[in-house]
Order: sequence, then structure tokens, then C-alpha cells
Amino acid sequence: MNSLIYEQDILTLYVKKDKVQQVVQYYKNFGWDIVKQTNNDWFIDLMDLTFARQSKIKNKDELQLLQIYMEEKLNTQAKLENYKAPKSFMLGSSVGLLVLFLIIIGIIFITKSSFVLGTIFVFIGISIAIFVMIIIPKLYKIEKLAHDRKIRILSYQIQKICKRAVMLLGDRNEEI
Amino acid sequence: MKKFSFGFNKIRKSGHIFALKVRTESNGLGVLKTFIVLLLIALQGLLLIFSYTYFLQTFKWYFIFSLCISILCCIYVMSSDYNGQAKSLWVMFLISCFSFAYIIYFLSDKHILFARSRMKYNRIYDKIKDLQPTPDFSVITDNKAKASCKYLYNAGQFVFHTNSRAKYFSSGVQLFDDILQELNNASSFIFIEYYIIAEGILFNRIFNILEQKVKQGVDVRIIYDDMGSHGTLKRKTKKKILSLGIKLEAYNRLVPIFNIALNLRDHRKLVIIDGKVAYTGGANLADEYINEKRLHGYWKDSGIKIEGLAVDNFTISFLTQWQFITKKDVDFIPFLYRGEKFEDNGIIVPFVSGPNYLYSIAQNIYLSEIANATEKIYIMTPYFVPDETITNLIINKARAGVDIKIILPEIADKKFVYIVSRNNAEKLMQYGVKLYTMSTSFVHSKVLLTENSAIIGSINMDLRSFNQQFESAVYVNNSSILQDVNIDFDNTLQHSKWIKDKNKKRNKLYFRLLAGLFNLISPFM
Repeated sequence: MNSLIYEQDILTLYVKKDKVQQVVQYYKNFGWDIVKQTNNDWFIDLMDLTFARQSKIKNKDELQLLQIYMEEKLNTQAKLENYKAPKSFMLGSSVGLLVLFLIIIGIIFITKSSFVLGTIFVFIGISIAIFVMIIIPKLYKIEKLAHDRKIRILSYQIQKICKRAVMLLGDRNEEI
Repeated sequence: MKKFSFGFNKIRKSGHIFALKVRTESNGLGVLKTFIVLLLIALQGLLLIFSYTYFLQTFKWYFIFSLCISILCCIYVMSSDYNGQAKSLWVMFLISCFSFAYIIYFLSDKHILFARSRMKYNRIYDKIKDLQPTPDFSVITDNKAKASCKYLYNAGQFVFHTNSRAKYFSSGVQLFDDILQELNNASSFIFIEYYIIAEGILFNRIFNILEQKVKQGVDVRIIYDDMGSHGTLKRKTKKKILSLGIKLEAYNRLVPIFNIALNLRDHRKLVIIDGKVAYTGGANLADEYINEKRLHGYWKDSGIKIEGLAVDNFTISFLTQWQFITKKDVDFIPFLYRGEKFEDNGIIVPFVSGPNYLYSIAQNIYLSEIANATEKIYIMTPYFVPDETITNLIINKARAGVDIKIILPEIADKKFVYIVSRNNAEKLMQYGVKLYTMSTSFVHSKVLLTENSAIIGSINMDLRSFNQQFESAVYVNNSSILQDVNIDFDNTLQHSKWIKDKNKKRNKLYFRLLAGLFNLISPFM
């Protein structure tokens, strides 16, 4: 590895295992060839990827900038994939808790004191539950669509960056 | 990235929501050393406080004595060359906290703190004052450029050159690629002065060449700032460098003794090769400056190369610093007058600045260039903490219709300073100053561009750079360089976001309060 230092740039990445193939492909567009791939010493879901690239390449500045943009977009994409529908999940769980609370209160009222008040509570709880059961899937769908759209846009932007990188890199064997 | 797992390796997930993370090496030894130094300094601080309290109890007349000393200090401050803000702050502090404020004043005033050092520098300047011929200013037709050249000559004997050549680099990669190429051609001497020298890919590449050059008989001298390079350059590596025959000297060696002089830093970035070629700019000798290491997104930097007799300005500055550090007499003559004479390329003035000069050359030349601008003022800087003089000047220029653009980083390296910088720049927006932040990047370039000139170097737009740090830069009034710098600004603007009122950063209240406090005490720092 030491002799490589003077002619080649070395880049080491910690990559989520499910993203390894994708990352290798993306980095290839920037002239990075994978030279080592090992499991991470500390985390089971990570892999250490070592890439090498000729040190002197055409348009290195712009390639570096684009690469950093790509890294940022890849990470944003991963973040979005992890949190697919936070709003509907939050609404669903909080309303679910409210429904549960209303029904329990209702049952307590029915068994201990007022049958009418208890029935009203249970009715309201069930009504909200039915309403939420109808609305939440729709909300989830809308949210997921928006998320998927964002992810698709990011994918498109990454593809665009990669295309630009390939263009900038040109023929790697070409003399600078 | 690595965490202590207490033997339970590989049983957990990373937990981070990211697809990939670039590895950046950190030096554990640096952390330990910092801790020990800080601990020892804190112990000495405590000892000082105890001694002071004891003194206070035993000496009855102390309050009258301290009040008298504080009043004398106030008189001295009022007659000093501090700006109005600094003067009023010092006087307020000296009077309100008279029992101990004068001690802090004695410990931190650069005129007192640096008096002995300045005398040593002056002795060197007396010795070298006739090394360069007195310039003939009548050849400069542009009056604004003539005034700047006269100022730089009178302030620090920096001679202007018209028969030298300059080349602008818009990134650390371009700059260091060129440096590596020129280092390979060195035949006589190589002088290197950096704030940060960090082990890594770039370090290996450069020292591989330096090792060969020393073997060929080239005189290689390196100055690094011990504070800046603290934790990035191991003792073992320093020993290895010395064993190769490279002369290595540290500026302001970091010692665990309570010493406010450590606040002064050698922030210069200089490479001088054979007295024929010289480089300066924002980039230090470390991997992040060439984007081999990822610290704060894309690292945007810049630099300039000069060729010809203009290099002598930097050679003299380097040898002055070398003589000051080593305390050994240096013969300057063998290292001078080696540059080639090129055809007229416009004015080039390499200059340095620092607490060794009576006035802040960096601040004054910035002021003068901003004052001279009538069409545009473009500033690229990582930190924006100017004093009220520069701020007022920028406001007046913006009101006069001058196109003012300030490019700051989007990612902060020091969060607090960044918030202060953003606050300061955002305040100027109401007067018509356009503020930009470079996306996913850390802008570390230090460039001032007007329609008349450009200043490219290591000078940040902050009071530390102006007053406390040794800086290096090049003043250029060369149309092709101005054009290159302009192109770099245009390209950077393409990758930047224009901050409008609605995008103003809304910081938390405590941050805003701290930022206000920082601005208030900034003249002290």
C-alpha cells in the first residue's frame, strides 16, 4: 500500500452492507477502483471499502466537489429510506393511544357508574378508530408517495452527477 | 468512528442513519497531550488565583495601589493605536474590575507582551533594510495601486515588482500539484513555513521529495506553528525529519506554562523554492486541504504562485522568522536576487503581516483596497469578524452602490465562530451586501477582489488574523490574475446559495447572546 501513496489516491469508506454494490458502482464513475473490502471491526452492519484512483486525473477539483455532493445525496437518501412515513406513524400511534384511553374510560364508566356516559366514550373511541383506520392508510400512502418521490429525485440527481463525473473523467488513460 | 466496546465487538449495529461515511484518521496522542497541557496550565492558573487572594488579604493598601495602576493603564490605552471599540472596552474593564484587570492587561496587551520580540525583529530589520533597492514609484501610473504599493513599502519594506509572474490556483489540489512539480526541480534551497503540518498522504508525497532533495545537497528548512501542528505531527516524525538532514523549527513551542504569548500564531503558508518560485494561500500542508480527508464537506481553498524577483520579499520574511526563532545570524544574500526577469506583468507585491510590525499591515491593506473600490468588492473568507472600521466602510460602500459579495462556508469548522460570522455578514445584508454560502462546503479561501486589485493569501477577515497572527499574502494588480480570481468567484457562486432575508439563520437565544458577547470582546482576542 505504501508505494501506492505517491501515484494513487486512497479512499476508505464505511458503508452500510446493503449499499455496498451501489456505492462501488457509483464510485467507479469517479475513477475509484475497489482494492479492498472487509467487514467493519466494530459494527456488524458496516463494511470497510478501500478504493484507489490515479492521483493525477483530469478535472480533479470538480470531480471531488461532485463526489461530495453525491455522498451527501446518498446519505440523505438513506435517511429518507429509514424514515418512510414519520407523520402518519406519529398520528396513528398517538390517535391509537387516545382511542385506547377513551375505550378504557368508557368501559370503566359502564361497569362502575354511568352506562350512558360510558357508552358515549366507547362510541367516540370506536368512531375515531374507524375514522383513523380509513384516514391513516391514505395519509401513509400520500406521505410514502412524497417520500418515494424525494428518493426518486435524489436517485435521478445522483445519476446525473455520475454522468457528469464520467464525462469529466474522460478516458482515464489519456495523458493529462 | 471507533468506539470502546469492552470486548463486545461486532454485536451491534452502527445505528447511524447514513449510507456511507468517509474515514478520517484522528490522532489519539494529540488529545492526550492537549489534556496534559491544559491540566498543567489550569493548575498554574489556580496557583495564581490563590497567590492573588493571599496577597489581597495581607496587603492593606492593595485597592488604592491597583486603582492607581489601572488608571495609568487607562491613560496608556487611550494614547495607544487601538481602535475606538477596543479602547472603550479596555477602559471599561480596567475601571470596573480595577483590582485584577490591570494584570490581565499586562498579560495580554500585544505591545507589552511582544515588546521584547519586536525589538529582536527590529534588530533584524535594521540589518536587512538595504537588501532590496528603493523602488521607483513613478513607474506606476494607477494612483490607487501606487498608494497601496507605497503603503506596503513604508509599512514593511515590501517592494513592488512588475517584472515577475503570478498564477492563481482555485483549489488546494491545483496548488499542491504545482508545488510538488516545482519541488522536484529544486536545486539550491527549499523554505517551507506552515501553520499546520499534518501527517498523511500529502505529507508523505512532499517529504518523499524533500528526502531526495536533501540527499542531492538542497538546503531544506521548515518552520511550523507548534500550536497549529499540535496533535498532527508526532514527535517520532519530527525526529525522523531531522535525521534526514531537514532543518525543522517550531514557532512558539507549546509548553505547559501559563503564557498568553501562545495566543500569537504563525498562520503563514509559504513555500519558497530556490528563490525563483514562491507559493502562498489558504491551504496548509494537510490532507483535508486537498480533499483527501473529509472534515467539513468539500474543502474550497485557493493559492497563488509567484515567479521572479518578487519571491525575494517572501525569502526575506522567511529568513527573518528563521533568524528570530533560531537566534542565529543568517546571511540573507546567498538566497536573494535569483529570480528571473519576466516581461511587464502588472504589479505584484508579496507581503507578510504580524504582531512584529507596529501596525496591522493586513488590516490596513484590506481597508485601503475596500476604500479604493468603486465597482465591486468580492470577499471569500472562512471567518467574518471585522472590526467596526471595516464594517462601516463596507456599509458605506454598499450604500454607494458598490457590488459587494461575501462568500462564507455552509459547513462550519468552529460552530461558534461560524454563527458569529454569519450574524456579522447577515447584518450587512440590509445595506445591500449580498451574502452567499457555498453548498456542502467549507470555504477556506482568503481572497479579496476589487476592480483594481486582489489580495490572495492566508489572511482571514477577522481580528485574530489582523492583530495576533503572522500572515502572508500577495497584492496583485495584474489583469489576467484578476480575471482568474473573478472566474473562481463566478464558479464558486454557481455552487453557492444566495442568502436572502427569509433564509437568515435563526439561532437559539443563547447562541445569539454568546455571539453578541463574542463580538463585544473580539478586540481582546
